[in-house]
Amino acid sequence: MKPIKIILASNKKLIVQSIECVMSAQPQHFVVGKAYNLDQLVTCLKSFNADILVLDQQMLDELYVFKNQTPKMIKSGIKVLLLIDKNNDRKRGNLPGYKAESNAYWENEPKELINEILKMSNYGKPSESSKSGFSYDFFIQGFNLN
Amino acid sequence: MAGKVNIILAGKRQLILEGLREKIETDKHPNIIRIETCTRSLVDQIKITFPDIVIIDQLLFSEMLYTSYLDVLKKFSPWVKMILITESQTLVNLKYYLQFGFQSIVLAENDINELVTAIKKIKKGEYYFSPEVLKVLIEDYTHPRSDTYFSIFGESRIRI
Repeated sequence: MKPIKIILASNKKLIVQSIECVMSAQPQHFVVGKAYNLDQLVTCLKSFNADILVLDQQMLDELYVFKNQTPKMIKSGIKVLLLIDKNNDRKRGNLPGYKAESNAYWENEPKELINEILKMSNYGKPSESSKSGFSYDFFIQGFNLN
Repeated sequence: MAGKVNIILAGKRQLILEGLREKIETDKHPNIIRIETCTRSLVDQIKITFPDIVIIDQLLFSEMLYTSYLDVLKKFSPWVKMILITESQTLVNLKYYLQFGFQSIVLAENDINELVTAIKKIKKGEYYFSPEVLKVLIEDYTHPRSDTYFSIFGESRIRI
């Protein structure tokens, strides 16, 4: 099977590297690019021909707030898997006019992340977890408060 | 087994904990005996398994602050050496962590090897703080905040 090219993006290096360790332990072959800040993410999206972007929700927020962009605006063909907190998923982490193809929870086991990635790469269909939940309430509230 | 360091990894984010386990266990000495995601079972497991080191993330530690488990842990398991993984670099928080008795503080933004180094140092009975944490603590030591506050306050009074 063709290796799946993935970008792991989070401000927290330790988190990115631990997810990379999880992936390297799987028999499935992944090619991983890493981004620890917004500039690296933009560069990585443009230069690394990735199939899937595994993105920390915090970084998606920062990309939207500081660069006024979404991953699709930088690379239209990319599929995004958003990593979100179960208890604070901010209406599943999406932005106005933007919805990630799939979500995975930090609290879940790594195999669920791997399964989501395999689902996305094999079938190209959004997973069950991403079918509901488009809302921009959070951002409206967030901007009003600020 | 001689030379083995028994470790409990504790945190809310299992996805990260599993990755940390993979990395930490590439070294021959550390032995991850448990992964815990809830405060109660963490305290129970510490009492049962007597680990050498507990690595705990800030989310679970914060949860412990709102329960009595933290007091239980300090009272009944004072021998346990603890490493904190945190996203916070604020002086107030760092001082609090030190007061609680963490032997090591590693930032989430650090390289994963910082954590491996922290384990090695703590095994030898030393303390280990990542460079960013040390910077904040040294700045506070050399330029205490109260002095800065009073000097600014003093200048404003002079201007008035």
